Amino acid sequence: MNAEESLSNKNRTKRMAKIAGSVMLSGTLLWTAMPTQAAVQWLPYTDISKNWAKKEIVSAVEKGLFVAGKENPRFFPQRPMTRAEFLTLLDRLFTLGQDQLYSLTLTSGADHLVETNGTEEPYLPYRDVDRLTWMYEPILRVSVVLERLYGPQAIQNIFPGKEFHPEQPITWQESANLIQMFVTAAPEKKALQILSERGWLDGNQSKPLTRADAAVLADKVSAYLEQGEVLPLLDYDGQKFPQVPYIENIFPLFYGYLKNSTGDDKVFLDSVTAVSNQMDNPDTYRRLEALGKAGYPNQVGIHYYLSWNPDTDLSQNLNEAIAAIDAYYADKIVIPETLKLLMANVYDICLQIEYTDPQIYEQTLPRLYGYEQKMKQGSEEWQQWAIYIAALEMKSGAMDKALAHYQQLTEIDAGLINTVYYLANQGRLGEAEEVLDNAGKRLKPDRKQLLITLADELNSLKKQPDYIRDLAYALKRTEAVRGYKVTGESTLSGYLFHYTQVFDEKTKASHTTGFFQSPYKLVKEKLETYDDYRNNVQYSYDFEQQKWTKTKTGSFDYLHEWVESQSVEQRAEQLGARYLQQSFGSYDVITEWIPGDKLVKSADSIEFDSARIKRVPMYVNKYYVDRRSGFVVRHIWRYEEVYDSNEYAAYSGQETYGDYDQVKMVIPATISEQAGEEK
Amino acid sequence: MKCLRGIILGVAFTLLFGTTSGYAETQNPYLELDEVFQLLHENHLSRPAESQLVQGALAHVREEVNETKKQELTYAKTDDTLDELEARLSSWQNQYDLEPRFLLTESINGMLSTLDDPHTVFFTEEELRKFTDSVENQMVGFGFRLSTKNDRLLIREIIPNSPAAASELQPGDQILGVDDIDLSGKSLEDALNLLKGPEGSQAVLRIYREKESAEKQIRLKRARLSIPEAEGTLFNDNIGYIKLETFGSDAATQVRDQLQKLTNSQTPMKALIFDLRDNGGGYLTAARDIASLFMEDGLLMYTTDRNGVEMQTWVHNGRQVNYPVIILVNENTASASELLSGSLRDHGIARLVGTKTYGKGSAQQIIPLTDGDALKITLNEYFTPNHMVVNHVGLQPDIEVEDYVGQVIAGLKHFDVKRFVLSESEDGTQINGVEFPILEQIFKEDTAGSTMRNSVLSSITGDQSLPKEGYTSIQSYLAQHKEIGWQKIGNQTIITIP
Repeated sequence: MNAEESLSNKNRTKRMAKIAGSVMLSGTLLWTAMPTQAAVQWLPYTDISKNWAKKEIVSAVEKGLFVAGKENPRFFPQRPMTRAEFLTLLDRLFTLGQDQLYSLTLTSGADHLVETNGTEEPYLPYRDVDRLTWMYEPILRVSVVLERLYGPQAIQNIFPGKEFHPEQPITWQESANLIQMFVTAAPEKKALQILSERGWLDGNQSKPLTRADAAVLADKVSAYLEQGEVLPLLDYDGQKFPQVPYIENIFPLFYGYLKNSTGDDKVFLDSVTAVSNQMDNPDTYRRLEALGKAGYPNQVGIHYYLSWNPDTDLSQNLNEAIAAIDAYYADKIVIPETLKLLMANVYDICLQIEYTDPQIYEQTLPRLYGYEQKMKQGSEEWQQWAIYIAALEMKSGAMDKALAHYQQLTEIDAGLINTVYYLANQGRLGEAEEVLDNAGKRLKPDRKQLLITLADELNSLKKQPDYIRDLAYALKRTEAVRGYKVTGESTLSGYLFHYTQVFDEKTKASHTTGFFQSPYKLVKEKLETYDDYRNNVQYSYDFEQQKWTKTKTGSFDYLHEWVESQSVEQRAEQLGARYLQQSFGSYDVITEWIPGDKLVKSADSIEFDSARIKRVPMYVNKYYVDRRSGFVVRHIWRYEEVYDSNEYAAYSGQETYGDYDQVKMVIPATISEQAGEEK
Repeated sequence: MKCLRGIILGVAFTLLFGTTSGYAETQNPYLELDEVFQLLHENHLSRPAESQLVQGALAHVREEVNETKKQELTYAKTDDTLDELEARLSSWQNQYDLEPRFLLTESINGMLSTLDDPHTVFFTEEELRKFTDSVENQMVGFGFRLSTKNDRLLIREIIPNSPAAASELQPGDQILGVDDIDLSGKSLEDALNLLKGPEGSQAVLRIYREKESAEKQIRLKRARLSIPEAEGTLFNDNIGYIKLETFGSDAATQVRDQLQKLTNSQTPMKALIFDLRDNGGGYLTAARDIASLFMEDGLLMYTTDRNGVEMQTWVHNGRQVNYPVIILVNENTASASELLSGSLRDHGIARLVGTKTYGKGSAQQIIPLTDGDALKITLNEYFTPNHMVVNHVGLQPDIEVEDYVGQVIAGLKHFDVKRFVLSESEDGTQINGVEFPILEQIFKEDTAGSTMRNSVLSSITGDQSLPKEGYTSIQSYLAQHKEIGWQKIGNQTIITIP
């Protein structure tokens, strides 16, 4: 959210939808209750009507996980599922859950296949899966995602050797090894154990996985993925907390209406339609106001929709939002869902007022505290009130008060997540664990996944010192060797670079060769440089002029250059970096997220290429450490930096390291002597 | 780790945000000229200088105006910037009342003429569609193929999923006319031209169906038709034959399916003749995918651009063929065809039979321009995996055979075929069960009795002493060559060699 965003109604809708956590379906007003379920259930296949997994098969088809239709009349539920089929299913599951995994894969959509600009397209390490087959792309995509998550050739840890045997039935063990990519359980846990703890193992594991088994598994995993992120406590841009609940419909009617209402009712309904379809104009609000003054019974609705008026002052909107709550209590009918929306509305308006008046939360809270006496404490209604009170308190800086509220709200998801997040943030990991334990005791079955996910994440938070130590050790090892070789590909604001670099740690010099491509050209250009890190000098070859030029280096042009100069310990302590270590095959993969708000604060005084950093929407590194050698073998990164000059730098890439200790290089004297100073 | 820091500093470029792409939106009538100029100047393989392009454009416009309007335009030899060019164009436009579109296309053509590169082309929207249609093997028509028999135009074949297929037309129907045009007695070429029309247009065909002794009128629409890019069949000798006409976007899957058909047939093929004659190329990705049907892993080619950046294109996750392959090539085998042939030969997978190929070793990209036109621009030169130059040179075949039929026979002979069954009809030539178009008759009857074309006879017998041109009396040849078996059954001639 940024201050420049104009406060038009349109933006508000977008924003409200955002805080509500739902994507709004514009124009879908529910005039009447939806038909609950068709009397005769449609079945996508002819051979599942009596199958035990019928429900899950249908649900998986509805989610696009299996293809039905004329060409595929039968599902063959009892047939063992082949490896190729399972990987295709996994690919579709990943597509469903890619946003939830984004913080770990740093890729979305199909871009992991095209990102390399065709220079080095990924391929499979198998001889028996051919390009021009239906299974090739899904298997390749899974392999690419696995490699992102777990390091080079990760798929070989599940299917070793030069043959993939695509037609071979997949085992429960293999499927568990694959499915665990969707969770971040501790490395010591076995894949089957992870799945069984989550209740994802239903079939007979001594028998092959049937297609029905796979449908059930996929249905459960997709339900888990729909529920939220894989790392719910991770907040790398500093925008995610405090969290507020999910709201289904932000344009309800509040009262029951007939389909063909007339008179005042019709005026009201038309106004709601106008607001929700973003077709509202000053008349819309004049009519609502007139209705309200005339004593129209649905005062909740009147005030709620008046609070959307883009032409009145935000403080007036806030007054209407609060008046809607007054009207709600005046009705004396308990509808927690309604109160939730009304409180969300107040919170949303406050978030907007904050840009001009940071004190808004402190000013608004006293206007809302009074409602508490109208409710039974701990009731569902009270919970909806309290969850927003806590959010406002958190925003006002009253951390303790907010946390006290959250701790009474652990029965609802947002309450639990906020409690664990803020406790963990203060280093109170033991208390956070206790909260989870207690929540687990009063377990509702649909919350099991969330509790396990939070426990896994809390566990990783407890291990931060280990991760920091491991990463620091691996990076220092690199610096302790004589030299090494880097091959890399990266994109900086549309410019693609492809290079090989040799570093000599003793002479503190490097030599780089490769090419780059400008987004404004169709052809590539060569590049070659020598860097002298002792004297902060760079020699680069000008291929047009055919001569070497010399430039002074040593200042920071970009935020990421400054961050790179910070040790892992500094990043952890001063920049609030968070780490996750995952182990798979022969690699430990350490992901590092540095929260944008901390980066902006810490780098506040640094002049980057005559601009200051304003916002950092994303700052993530992934390091792949070979457990046998202890060396970092690969590094992937994705940074987004916005400067106060309004320059936006998106920088992402991948480097692979090798030839440790085998590289020696000195900058040729002919070059350092000849090079002319850059103008 | 010190990441990319060094590199970013080493390269002189500015980060651009917003509208700095060089193609700013203006009211400029020569917007596409700007674009083409920029594209050529910054990307064309030959690194054309600004003055070269500007002078080329001015000279060409002057020539065109002189020819069409008999006006003598003048400009300075010192005009060497885009601004100067545009200033000239707009002053000419006013002074001589010239169409901006005319000036635009002629100055672009003038720039292109300085490149000495027939493959860099300015396309109008219509021309672009024709070009992609030809790459994709698409055409607009009713959906039948014609042949002539005794001066009658007959429907030889009906293309599936076409308007013709949905109508009551049948193979063998004689075409008498279209709308008001009488087609009787017309040559095949004339008839095809008269049958043409825009997509979606309707026409009434007059036909005569011999077996019903009836004349009929059939209303048909012209539609866009996709002609198969690859077709495959087996020679009598279990040798597969696949003809690829173009490297369109379906080429690879079609070749895959044809290969599948041939390897899964009752008598699986033991060798393959892959016909790339008269195949002018197409998409590089199609060539790469097709290469993957012949090799598991391997380098397809090297490419270089104007800045000397060399890239490798690899084939991965392909399948290795387990039978020998012959590729038929001729002087019209060009571009993607040469790329594929060269690569498969360098990897020892295929041998080339035919004549020296065209020699188009450059790769183009099609860039859409602002007002709907497009520029096909040469960006790269490519080389085979053994670094063989293709451009302007062509590939020399392993077995050189000039005759069209002789090339097929040489391919079969390479796979130890000793028995050749030849027949000729109005529709084509059959060689061991596979049909080829007739270019020149194989057998002729003359006063000396039956004769056979020398080039075909020598390709079967390997007899180099025969003259290249002309026909030889079969009877006298057989009398001198007792080792050659000869049989005639119906219209089939069966020749066996030891």
